[in-house]
Amino acid sequence: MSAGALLEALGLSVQAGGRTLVHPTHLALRPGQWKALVGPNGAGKTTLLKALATLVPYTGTVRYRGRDVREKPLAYRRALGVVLHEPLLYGELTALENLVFYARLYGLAAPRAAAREKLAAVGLEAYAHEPVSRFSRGMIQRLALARALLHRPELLLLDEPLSGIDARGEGLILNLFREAKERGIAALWVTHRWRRAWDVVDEVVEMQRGTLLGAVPTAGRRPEEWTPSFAEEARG
Amino acid sequence: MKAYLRAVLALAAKDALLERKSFETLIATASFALLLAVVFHFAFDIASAEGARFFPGALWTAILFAGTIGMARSARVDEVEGRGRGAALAPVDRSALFLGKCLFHLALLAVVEAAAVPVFAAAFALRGMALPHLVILGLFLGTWGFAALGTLLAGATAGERATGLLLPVVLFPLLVPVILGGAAVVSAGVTGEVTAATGSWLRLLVVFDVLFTAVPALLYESLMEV
Repeated sequence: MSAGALLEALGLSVQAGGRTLVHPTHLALRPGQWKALVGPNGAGKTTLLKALATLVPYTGTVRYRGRDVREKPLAYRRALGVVLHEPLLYGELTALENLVFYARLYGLAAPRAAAREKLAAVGLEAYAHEPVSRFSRGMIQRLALARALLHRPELLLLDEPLSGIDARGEGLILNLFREAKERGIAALWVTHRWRRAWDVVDEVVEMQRGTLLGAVPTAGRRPEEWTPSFAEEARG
Repeated sequence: MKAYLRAVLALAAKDALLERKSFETLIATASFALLLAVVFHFAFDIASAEGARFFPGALWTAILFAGTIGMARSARVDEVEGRGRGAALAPVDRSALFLGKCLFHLALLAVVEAAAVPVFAAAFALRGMALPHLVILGLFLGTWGFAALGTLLAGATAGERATGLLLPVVLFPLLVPVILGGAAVVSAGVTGEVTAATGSWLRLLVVFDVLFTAVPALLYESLMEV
């Protein structure tokens, strides 16, 4: 066990349909630490993220603050904020109604106020009463992030949170990530756009064919100085 | 416990809010039940003396068919883009997801029954009900069991391509005690002929309801494999 780890995966493995999607994996995140998880399509990044979110069955152990998450699943889920490829929002409801629903589900004291605060944080307060089905992909991503941050989690699991977002939205979200990091929130960030994540994350971890290959610290390096092995393979 | 109940209510309220946006499920379910009343009326040409005999069975048949349509539709709401997973991430026991949905189905069926009972009573030329409170009790207990089992199986089959076909096939055979019990108690309420068998049916309905509410709630997390 890594001393002081917030989240640890010990021999975590995911099988489905007779195939191993994630081979036994060891991964640790310290409080406030941000890691980017990069790899080609089908590498198992999203599956690993969903297993850490307890959304798919897995073997092995996931520990949160040193304790198996199966022992205290509610405490773990309270600490968790998750952004998946699917926004987990109801298109028929307005942005505010969606967030109020989640705020109530998380037992927040003032659901409406918390929802409005997060809508403002992601720049969507003007669209509070618009049905989500009318939102662009970028707006939906921002709202999904507001949903994930609503209950002030300690740990974020992010699957391509910048996909479909324009430059303004991207800047806004990267600022939100920096603020979250300053507040001590840790994150595992699945991304294809690792150069955009470079300034925010502490490490970039590469994954291929269901296996973690290694981690590269970002401190003191520029993104141009590192090329993931799958990109090298593709090149040559 | 308070947080758990709040989560159950939040989930049921979310479904009610979604329904209020279009009334699609309610309109489909209620209109199907009412159409069946019209079909039965013309198909059987029932004289008023026989109405009380056929009313309970016909009413329960309509509730069963219409309710199955409504529950299948309502379960699919959470399957769109996997959005039901959002609730599975909340810090609340996942049995709350089952109970929240069950509560919504119970409310939905209650509204449908409130509309269907007078229409069926008219279609079957019913002159009145001897023990209306027994009719309400029979409907409530039967609907509770139907909603509990229906919610479980609608959730389990919602991801299947042929869910509309699959749900009645797996649900109806298991609902036989509810239909028999519900119809017997409603019949006793309509005619006023309460016997020892009425008490036995009431007890059976209570046992069924408690069993099919408690067991799915306990097993929901592993059954759903979210």
